[in-house]
Amino acid sequence: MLHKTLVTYVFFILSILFINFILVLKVPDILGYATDVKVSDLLFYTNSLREKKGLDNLSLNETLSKAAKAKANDMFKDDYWAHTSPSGKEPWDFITGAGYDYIYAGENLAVDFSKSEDVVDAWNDSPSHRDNLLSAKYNEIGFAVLDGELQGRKTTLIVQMFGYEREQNRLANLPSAVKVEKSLPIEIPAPIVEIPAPVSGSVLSTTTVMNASRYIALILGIFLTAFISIDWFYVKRTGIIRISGNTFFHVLLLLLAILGIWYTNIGLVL
Amino acid sequence: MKKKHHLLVVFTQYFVLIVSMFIAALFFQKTADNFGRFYILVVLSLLYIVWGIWHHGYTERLDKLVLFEYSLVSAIVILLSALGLGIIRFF
Repeated sequence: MLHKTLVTYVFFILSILFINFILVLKVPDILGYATDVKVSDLLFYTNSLREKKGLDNLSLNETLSKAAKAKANDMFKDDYWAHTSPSGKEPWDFITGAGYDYIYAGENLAVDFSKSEDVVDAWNDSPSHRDNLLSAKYNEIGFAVLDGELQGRKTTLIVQMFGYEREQNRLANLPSAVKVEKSLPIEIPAPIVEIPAPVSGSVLSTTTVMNASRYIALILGIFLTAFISIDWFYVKRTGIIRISGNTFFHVLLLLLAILGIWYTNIGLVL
Repeated sequence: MKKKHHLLVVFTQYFVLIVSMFIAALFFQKTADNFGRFYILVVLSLLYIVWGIWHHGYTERLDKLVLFEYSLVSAIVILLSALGLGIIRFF
């Protein structure tokens, strides 16, 4: 009888642990495919904004995406959150390094976002980032959405690179007959890179709202945990008998959520 | 003997819950995306309700109110996580 009961409980425990392991182990896969920050969505929301302003859509350029990916990898490798790396690498170093010969180029950065729409909204809220999003100088765009560890935290980094490729580069790909015909000297302006200035906090931006929600969640969580703990302490001290759940584990679960929220950053653009 | 067995099972139940929380915390720390982190807390909260039923069912203290209490705590944790991790916004 005892043996049978023990087997049943061991089976139940193992089942719970197995389900927990499977569900949690599935997370990296889910992150790879179901994360809400997607290149296609970022492109869609960026172009939607441009359409509203009567501007042409930007087309996705693989070389710019390659440059954005190189920049994101460099940020993770050298552990910095800036347009210029500690070793002095500028955004255009990645753009030209990827083989994109530009006349105009720009870069927007974002970190700790869960949704593509929030990322584009946050850029749109900042005047300097909006200048990049809504610039008529660009006709192409590239993105990188990469997971990694930045300044001691696991995070998702989003790099958006804009560009207008030098016409000569395109001519190089044309048939030689056309090339000869068009190989007259053309006046080409010097390359220009637009780097957004730091965001000012005067506007109630998407990031401000998201961080306000985070602080409200933290305050509510701490208040509830404190309330339950005081109630638990009072009930224990006065010896009141009541039907209730296990308060210690309620507090533990709430504390885990609070610590998780505390540990997580949300919504930062540069 | 019966009491000893009862204690063993109850302690095993506590152990399972603490291990589940520990695993969830570990994966939370290893996950880069806030959406994934939210998912981990949702799974943990749902498991907490299952654990509550299991634990209180075994100790013969399972009641509608207890079930409601576990569901409420889990719902609060899910709501706070959604707010705190940027899945939903307060306003």
